[in-house]
Amino acid sequence: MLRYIGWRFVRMVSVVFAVTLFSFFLLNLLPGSPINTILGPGAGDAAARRLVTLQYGLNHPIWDRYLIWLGHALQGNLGESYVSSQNVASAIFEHLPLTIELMIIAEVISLGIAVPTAMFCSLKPGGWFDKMVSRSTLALLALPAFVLGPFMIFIFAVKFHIFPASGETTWFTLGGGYSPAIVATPQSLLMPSLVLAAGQLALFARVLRGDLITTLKSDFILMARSKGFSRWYILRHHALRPSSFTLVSLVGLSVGGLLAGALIVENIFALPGIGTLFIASILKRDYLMVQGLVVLVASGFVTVNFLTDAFYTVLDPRIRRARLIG
Amino acid sequence: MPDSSADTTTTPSRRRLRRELDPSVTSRAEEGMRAALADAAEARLAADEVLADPGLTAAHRDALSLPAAPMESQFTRLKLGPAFWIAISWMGLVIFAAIFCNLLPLPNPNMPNVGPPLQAPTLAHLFGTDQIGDDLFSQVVTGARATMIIGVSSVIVGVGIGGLMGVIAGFYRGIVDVIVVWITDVLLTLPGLILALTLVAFLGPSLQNVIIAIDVLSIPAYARIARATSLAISQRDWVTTALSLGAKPRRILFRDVLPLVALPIASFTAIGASVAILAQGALAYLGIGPPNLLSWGSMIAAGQQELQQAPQATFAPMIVFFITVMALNYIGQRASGALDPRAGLL
Repeated sequence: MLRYIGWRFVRMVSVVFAVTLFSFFLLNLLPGSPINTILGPGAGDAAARRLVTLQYGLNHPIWDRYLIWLGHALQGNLGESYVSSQNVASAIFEHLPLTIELMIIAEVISLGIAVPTAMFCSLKPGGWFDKMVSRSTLALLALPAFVLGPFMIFIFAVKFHIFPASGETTWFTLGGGYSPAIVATPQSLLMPSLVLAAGQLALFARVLRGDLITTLKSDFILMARSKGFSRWYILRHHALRPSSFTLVSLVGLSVGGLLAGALIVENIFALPGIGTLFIASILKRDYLMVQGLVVLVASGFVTVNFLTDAFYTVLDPRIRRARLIG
Repeated sequence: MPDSSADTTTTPSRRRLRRELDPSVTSRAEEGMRAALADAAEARLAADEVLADPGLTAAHRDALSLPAAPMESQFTRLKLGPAFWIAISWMGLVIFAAIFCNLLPLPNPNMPNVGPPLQAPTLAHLFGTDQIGDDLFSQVVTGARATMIIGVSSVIVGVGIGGLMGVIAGFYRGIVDVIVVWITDVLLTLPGLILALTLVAFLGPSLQNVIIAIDVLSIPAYARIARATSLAISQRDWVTTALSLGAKPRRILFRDVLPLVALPIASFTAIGASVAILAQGALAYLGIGPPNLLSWGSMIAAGQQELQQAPQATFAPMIVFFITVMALNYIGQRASGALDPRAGLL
């Protein structure tokens, strides 16, 4: 097991290394001087050019520059945006809590709906409820955030005025510190989380339903039936746990999908998270900010995946050999 | 963990299967083929038993997964249903619109005031008009082109590069495999949409760069499927037999393994295209991409500004987008379900 986790760790580190290389060279090897890229619209200013040349050591060879940049990045110094003269790392950490909050709420919603739904479906596979759920999850999978979002805005904000159309509230800088938005203004976060949860929900429900139906065919379920337990009791106490392995690993893997979803959802509802920062930076040609975000998001994503994998290996001994082969 | 591929030596069921297929075998090649068919059929029986084990997880299934049996036994029992053909016809319609949108007798999609602004759908303007009097129907028809360019190119690049990489990695294993797995790992490090956004942001917002970005992110999925399948196939007895008879590995790869890997890959193309189209829609919705290109994503974003006055400007591209992605997903689901009943889960 340690060998497997160690192997995963080596792979994780090498992948993160590749990502830093990728994002560094994206900025430095594109046509034109990196000075133009870094400075963006303000590239004409001679003083700024000199400052950038010195600050980024552009008079040094590229490999030295990469190592220097990597050293700075490891110390949490991702540079300073020339567009907004903001420190990149602090700008990111300012926007991060909202995105994480959004993702957690969406995950809770999707699991809270998907698990009971899948259980009801597996009570009578092929029944009317199962068929209805199967069709609606297929439809949900074809509804990306940027289709579902505007649709829900139309229904709940334009037609019925239940929720605000965007999350432009004042909570974000309340008292200088961060206060969870779901406490301050729950209604501004509920619709975005629902949109974000939709895709995950469909996926979770389908996978758990399939696994539950497989489990319910096994002998120990027949045994429990013959003891006289009710179907629902068996489902909850005997079948759910052995059927949930795929779901657990899927929840870990869903972080990436949620992050990409959050990026769109934040832009639809104008929520000040990582996603809006990312798109705004791209549109403002704030390349240092984009670079910092890519490095940070990739490292975080890879770390979460690694932890899920390691945790999962500890949980389920049967997985070890299978994954070593695969 | 029980091993599904091992122990396919003479068991009664195998002998029975062989007798059933045809006792009068003539040439050696034919005999080999029939043996392979019997092997595959029996491996499927064994695999069904193994896969019925409740403790199996996705990783197990992946490790154990067998490719679909040879074509002969497959195509005889394809049942796709009418909804599948409706989905196919819809995709035909979209492709037709994408190819011929310039030749169709429609008002210029980029010209304002072809009709009264903010008009609900009428016979002259099937989807109505938006705030400045653009004809929404002709915009939606023209938007099909961007969508299909992305969908088709992602399939070509995904199969051509990703699929080939995966087949070779799974067949030769060793260092090639390690490298291919590492490349897909790196490509999967970033969530797909963020990778595409980054590439377009740095390369510049032209259609060509959007295509490159989305094609790059479609490679790993094809590579993984092809690798898993080709890994499973190349561990079969008949590959070993062919090798010991003196067949060159390359010949086995292209003549025997490749056709079998082609099936799961082909059934994935619909899903792959739908993922690519979703990514393109997201990019266009976020305004990252060529600013003057008419596409469904950018139409939704533009229409959202006038959701109150002209909901049809958002709903027309939205519904068409939804139906297209749903059709592709359904085609993919039915196709993979028909080719391999066990994989029909998603």
